[in-house]
Amino acid sequence: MAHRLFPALFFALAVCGVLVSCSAQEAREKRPEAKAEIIPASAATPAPLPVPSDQDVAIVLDSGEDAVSLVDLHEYKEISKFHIGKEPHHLMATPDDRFLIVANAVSNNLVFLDPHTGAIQRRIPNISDPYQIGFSPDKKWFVTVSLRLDRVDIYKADDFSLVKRLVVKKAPSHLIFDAASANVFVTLQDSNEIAAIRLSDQTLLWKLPVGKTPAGIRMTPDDKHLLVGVMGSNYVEVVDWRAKKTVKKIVTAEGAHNFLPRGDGQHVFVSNRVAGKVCEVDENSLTNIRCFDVPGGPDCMEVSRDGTELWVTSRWVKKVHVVDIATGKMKKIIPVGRSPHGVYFFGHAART
Amino acid sequence: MGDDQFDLLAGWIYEHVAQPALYKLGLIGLDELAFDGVTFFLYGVAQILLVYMLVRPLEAMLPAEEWKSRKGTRVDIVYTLLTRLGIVPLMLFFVLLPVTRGMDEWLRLHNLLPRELEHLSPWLLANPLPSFFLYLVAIDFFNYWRHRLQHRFGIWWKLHSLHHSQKMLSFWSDDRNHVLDDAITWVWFALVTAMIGIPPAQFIWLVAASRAVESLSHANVRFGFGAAGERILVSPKFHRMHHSIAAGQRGCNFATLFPIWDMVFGTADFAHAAVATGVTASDDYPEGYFAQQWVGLKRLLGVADVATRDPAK
Repeated sequence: MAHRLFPALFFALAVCGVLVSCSAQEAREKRPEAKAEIIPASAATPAPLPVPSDQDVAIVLDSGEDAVSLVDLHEYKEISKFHIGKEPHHLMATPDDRFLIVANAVSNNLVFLDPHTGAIQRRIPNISDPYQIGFSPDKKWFVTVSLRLDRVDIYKADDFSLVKRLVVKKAPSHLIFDAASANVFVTLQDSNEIAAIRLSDQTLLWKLPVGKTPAGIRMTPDDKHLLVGVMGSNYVEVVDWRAKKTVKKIVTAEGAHNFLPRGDGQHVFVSNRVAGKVCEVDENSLTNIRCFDVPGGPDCMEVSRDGTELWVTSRWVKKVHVVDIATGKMKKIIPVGRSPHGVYFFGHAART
Repeated sequence: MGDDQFDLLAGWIYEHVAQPALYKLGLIGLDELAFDGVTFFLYGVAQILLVYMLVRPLEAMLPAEEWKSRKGTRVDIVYTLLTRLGIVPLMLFFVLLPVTRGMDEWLRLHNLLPRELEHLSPWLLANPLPSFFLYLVAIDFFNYWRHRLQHRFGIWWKLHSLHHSQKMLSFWSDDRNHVLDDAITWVWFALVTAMIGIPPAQFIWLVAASRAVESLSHANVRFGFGAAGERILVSPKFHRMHHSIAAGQRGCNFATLFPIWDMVFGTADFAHAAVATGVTASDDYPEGYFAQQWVGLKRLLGVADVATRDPAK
């Protein structure tokens, strides 16, 4: 039997080897194609608040179903769903707002959607485990973090070619840039730190201890302070990043997780995943103004252009909750897919 | 209970029971893993109940072997609970994380990104059902070869013979494995994942589909699926031949789901004569769970070759 067994096994392993090596070959060969496909962000006309269209939908990433839910913004209900790739967690628009990028962490690719309709435009392969993504404000760098594999990858934003892959332990989770695009700051969820990486030479500059299990991170509009959501506790840690020290802790609620600016240049919403609350923090006084209930593990958020609605994905209950911002009361509950994470619509408020 | 209600129940349990406990214990970094764990646990409970309700009556009505008592199957219930409720998988996940993650990291640092079957056709990207079936077939192919190697290499067979040592083969027997055998299987699966990619969203259904067929194929029932059906899906008769004492380490009918692999690679045996299951005395194991694990470990270390059952029992 052995004489039949081993040739067959060898054949199977050889096929697998070819598949893997093809993947590597593809990684080397396909980047130029990808480069040709991409419209450089810097070539686009800046449009701070582009005009929404009648076709606009809310785009929700069902990370537990490898799918995207498209939600009618007026009827508040899912109108369609499509398969997009493995574990889509986060999304963001390109700096020119022409595309919405979905990062498929396990598929190792980026999918470009029409930000109005959610229609797939193109895919960029061979982006290793993109969990969280971000463009530097000068549109020069595109950074991804791999929470699972302790990596921060720095790409050129114009062609998505890899410049540097840094090992940054442990569990890099969220990222933010300073206004000058000199540094990117990353929360390290499992080592309870934040890390600063200089972009010009892609060097890890320093790490700073913060509270337990840091998740979301945001730069205040004055570029002075980093706000860090301390998920293992109930507060937002305020870090003077130039002095490299914590200057304040703003108590919000258990499981402080992620941030989204209200759009008025003064306030930011903080989701608190354990307490099931979203809090509003004044970024001038660095104080918590109020909290309201959003059950089911609130995570990513989006604010409507007119500033009346806050959309929140609730990870554990397959829902998007729509909150009336003025009153903090629940306005609509929209059933979507499993473990909804990123949420976006074109007609959103300013990111300030 | 539909899929949606099931997920919502898992979500409710997670939000109101598991997550607050994790937070209090300072383990909130395991948030998403634990959420999947709760879902896995609930699916395990549902699987056990469903299989018991459907297959246990079949074992009573159409037994392949008549037993005076089912006492000998009890230890397999322990294996089933430990595996399907997620206790063994959770332990293996954390113990083997340095191995599986290290492998993944090494590949990526050398620009070897895991391959996906969806790369075969863009059509698969948009059609999860055919994609699911393709992964099911591919995983079964690799399981077939893992299973052959379990029988081929003496050192691996020393562990795997625990699975075969059950003389009272029943629907509980599927998970009767030495934990080190499970560990090797885990690493094997990680290698397969690195080669073809496994959709995380489909993982639970891939496992559920495999387990449903495997529970039935181990059942103490005397029916097959007919001449054609036998060649499409592994039946209890087909798999009983694999567990026969006569087949032993040499083995036949290695497939988990699809007999096509045995047909292609020349290991199929559709004779289906009434067979007694188990292993020869030199491969036998004692009866208790911990005794079996201990003997398996000693055999691996070469300090115990024979561990027969207590004749008094």
